[in-house]
Amino acid sequence: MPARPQGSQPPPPQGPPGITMLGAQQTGKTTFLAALQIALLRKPDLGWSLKGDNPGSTQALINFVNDMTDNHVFPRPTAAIENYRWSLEGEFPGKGPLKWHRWWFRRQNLLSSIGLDLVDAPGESADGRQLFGRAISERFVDNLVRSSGIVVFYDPVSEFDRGDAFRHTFGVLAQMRSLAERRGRLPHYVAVCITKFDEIRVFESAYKLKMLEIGPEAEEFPQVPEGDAEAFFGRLVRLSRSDNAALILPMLHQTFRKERVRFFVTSAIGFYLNPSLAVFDPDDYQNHIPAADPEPARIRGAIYPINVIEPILWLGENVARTARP
Amino acid sequence: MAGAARNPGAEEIVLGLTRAIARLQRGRLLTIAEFSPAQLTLWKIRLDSAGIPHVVQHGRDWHSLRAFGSLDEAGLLDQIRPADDGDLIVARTGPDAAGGADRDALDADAAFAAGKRGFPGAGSFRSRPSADDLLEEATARVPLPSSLWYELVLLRRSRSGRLEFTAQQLFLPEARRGDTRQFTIRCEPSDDNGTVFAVAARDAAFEFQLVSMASAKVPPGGYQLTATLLRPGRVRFDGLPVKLRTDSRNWLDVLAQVPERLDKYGPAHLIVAVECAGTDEEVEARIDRARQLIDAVGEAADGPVTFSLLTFSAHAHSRRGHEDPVTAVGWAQGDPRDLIPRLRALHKRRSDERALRNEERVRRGETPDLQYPRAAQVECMLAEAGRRLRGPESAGTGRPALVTIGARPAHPHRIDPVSEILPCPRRQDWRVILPSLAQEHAGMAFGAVRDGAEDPDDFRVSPLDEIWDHLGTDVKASTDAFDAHAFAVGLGLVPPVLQYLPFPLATSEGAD
Repeated sequence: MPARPQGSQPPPPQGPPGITMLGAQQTGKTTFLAALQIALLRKPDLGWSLKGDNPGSTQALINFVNDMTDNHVFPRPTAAIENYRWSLEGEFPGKGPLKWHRWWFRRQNLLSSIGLDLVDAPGESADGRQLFGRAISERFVDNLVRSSGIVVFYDPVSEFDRGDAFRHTFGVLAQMRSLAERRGRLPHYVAVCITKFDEIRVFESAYKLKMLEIGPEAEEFPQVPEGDAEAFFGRLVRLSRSDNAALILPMLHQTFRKERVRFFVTSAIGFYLNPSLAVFDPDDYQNHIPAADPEPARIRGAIYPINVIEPILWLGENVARTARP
Repeated sequence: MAGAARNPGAEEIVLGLTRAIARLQRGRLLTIAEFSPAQLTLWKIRLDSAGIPHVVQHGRDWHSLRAFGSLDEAGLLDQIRPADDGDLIVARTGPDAAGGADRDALDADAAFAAGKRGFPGAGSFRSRPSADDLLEEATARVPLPSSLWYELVLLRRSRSGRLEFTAQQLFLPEARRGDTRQFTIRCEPSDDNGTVFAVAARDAAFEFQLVSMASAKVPPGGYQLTATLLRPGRVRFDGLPVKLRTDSRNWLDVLAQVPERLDKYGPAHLIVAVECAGTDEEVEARIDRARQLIDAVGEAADGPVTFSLLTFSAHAHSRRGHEDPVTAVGWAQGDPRDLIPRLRALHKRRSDERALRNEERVRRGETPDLQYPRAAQVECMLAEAGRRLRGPESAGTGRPALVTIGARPAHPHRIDPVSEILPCPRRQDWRVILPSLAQEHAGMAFGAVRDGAEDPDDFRVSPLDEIWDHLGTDVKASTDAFDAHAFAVGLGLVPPVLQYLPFPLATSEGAD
C-alpha cells in the first residue's frame, strides 16, 4: 500500500484551481497517473513533470510506477485516494512575463504548477442516489467545482459489465451545477478519457468501426484520432449495459461548453509489443492479463501509454492560461 | 512269441508283445491268458482307430476252476479260447511253486501246460513280472499306425478375421514313444476352462479322431512348445508356463465355443500427451491415467503397439517468464515401461527448478513467475506430434492414436476477443493442425481425458472447450472416473469385449 500522507485529516481544498481526475473505482485512475509519470519521464522536452505534494503522495507515486514497470502488476487500489495530492509542474522557457533585463525586456521562464487530484467517484461518493448529506461528497463536489480542468474516465469494459456510468455522472454533474455561482454552462475544461483502449473488446470495436489509424511512433501503435474520439465514445455508450449511458454525451454538453470538452481514447499500459518484432502485431497485442485465481491481473510486457499525456497537456495548458495573472 | 514255450528275458517279452499288439488289425483282439499263483487273468487287447491299445482284463481264482478237487482242463480251455478266433498268448507269471503244498502255483503250472497243449499255435512265455507290468510297457512302445498322423488342433485367423480350424502336425505314422516335435503357437485369452490342447489322429483320408484333450489357463502370448509322444494316445507339451490337466468336457461343447471371428486390433502407435500445468496433485492424477492407459493397451492389444509420451505445459505470458517446452519423454518405443517414471522425474525436476527460480525472484523483490493459468500448449503439442509423425523420427508402428490428458484450453493462434487468452507465441493454430493430422494419417484416433469432465457433454460447455471436443473425437473420459480398458476400446486399440479362444492360434495368418 502506498504510504499514507502526513496528517490524519484530509486536507481541505486549497491552492489555485487544478485538475481533478474523476472516475469510478477501478476505472484506471491510479494506473493512468502512474502511466502519466512514465510518459512524462519519457518526454522531458514537453516541459511537464509530476510530483507529489507531500512525502506520502510522492512515495505512493513511486510505488505505483514500480508496480507497473518492475513487477508488471497494476497499482493496488488506493484507499482514501482523496488524501493524496499530486501536482503537474511545467517550466516553459521564454513563455513568462516580460521583465526589464539590462537595456531590453526579456521574457522570463513560465513556471506553472497545477494541482492534480484523483477522486474516487464511485459507490457512495459518486452514486447520484446517495450524494447528498455527506461531508466527503460535498468536499468532493466542491473540489470539482473549484477545478479548472476535469478528467472524466469512461471505462467501456466496466460499463459493458456494470452499466453505471450515467447514474454516477448525472449525480455529480447535477451537484456541480447547483454549487456553481454562475448561470449557464460551467467553464471547466473537460477531458473525457475513454480508457483501456488496449483491451481487446475496445480495440476490436474501434477496428470494426474503421476508426483506427497508425500512430507516429516507430512501433506503429494504432490509435483513434482525436477527431473520431467523440464519435467512438458515442458508439461505445450504445454498447453499455444501461440504456441511459447514451444520455451521458448530451448531459456533458448541457453542463459544459462544447468547445471545452474533448475526447481522448487512451490506454495507460498500451499494447503489448513483442520485443523480437518491435512493432505492433495485430494478432498479439494483449498487454493486460486478466486475473485468474490465484494469480492477480498482470501487465504482460513493457508499458507504452497511449494518449495519456495529451489530455493532461491540453487541460494543463488551458488551466495555466486561465490562472495566469 | 508263438511256438515252443521259452523263458525269455522281460525285455524280449515286451518287444514281442509290442510287435503282437502293433500287428493287430482294427477290430481284432489279442488275448493273453496269464496263469499266476494268484489267479487266471485274461487280458484282451485291441487297437482303436487312432492306434491306441485298449486293454481289458478279468480274472478267475483257481478254486473256481477246479472240479472235484482238481483243475478242470476242459473248462479252463473254454475260458481262455479267443472268442473271435484271434491271437492268443499264454503266460506263466509270478513265482514258481514253492513245493507240493503250493497248490495254486502248481495249478498255474498245470494250466499253463494245458493252455499250450490246447492251443498249440498260441504264443507263450514265462515271466516273473506280471502281464500287467509287461503290457504297460509294451502298449507304450507300440508305434503309431502306418497311416495315421497325430496333430494338434489349432485355429487360424484369416486376414479378414474369420477363424478356421487347422492343425499343427505332431507325429508322423509309426512314430514311437519319445519322439518329439517343436513348434510355435499363440494363446489368446481363454475362458475359465482355459485353452484346450486337443490331439487328433488323422488318416490319409483326412478323417480326424480325437486322441486326447487337456487344458489350462494359459496367459495370452506366443509360446514355443515341444510335443513328446509318451505312448499312443498320450502327448506331453513342454514350454507352457502352466500344467495341463485332462479335459473331460464333451468335444462338441468345446467346438461350440469357437467364435466365428477374431478381430485384430493393431498394429498401432499410442501417443499420450500429458498436461503438466496445474497443481502437483492434478498433474499426478493425469500421469496416473496415462500409466493406466499404457498398461491397458500393452496388456490387451492384439498386434504390436509402439508407445510415445509427450508432455506440455503453459506458455510463458511474458518475455521474462520461463517456459517449459513441449517435450517428448519417449517416442515410438516398443517397451513403454520406463515412460511413466521418466515423466514423473521430468515433472519433479521442472517443479523444483521453478520453485528455485521463484525463490530467487522473491529474494530480488520481484513477483514470482507463476505459469500462465488460462491455457496450455495444446496447439504446440499437436504440432510437435504431427512433426514427429512425419519424421525423421520413427513414425511408430501402425495406426496412430493421440490421447490428450489435461484440463486447459489451447492458446489461440491470434488474439481471441471471446476468451482473451493470449495467443500462441509460435502462432500455431490447432484448427489447422488437428484436421491435417487426421488427414495425413488415415484412421488416426483421438481421445481426451479431461479434469472434472463428468460426461461427454462437459467437453462442449463453452467455446473454450471446443478443442477438447475435437481432441476426444473418438473417446472422452474424465480423470476422476477413468476406465482404461473402455478408453482403449474406444480408440480401437483393444477388442471391445475380451475375445476368448478355446484353442491355440496358429502363428501364421491364413488367406481369406
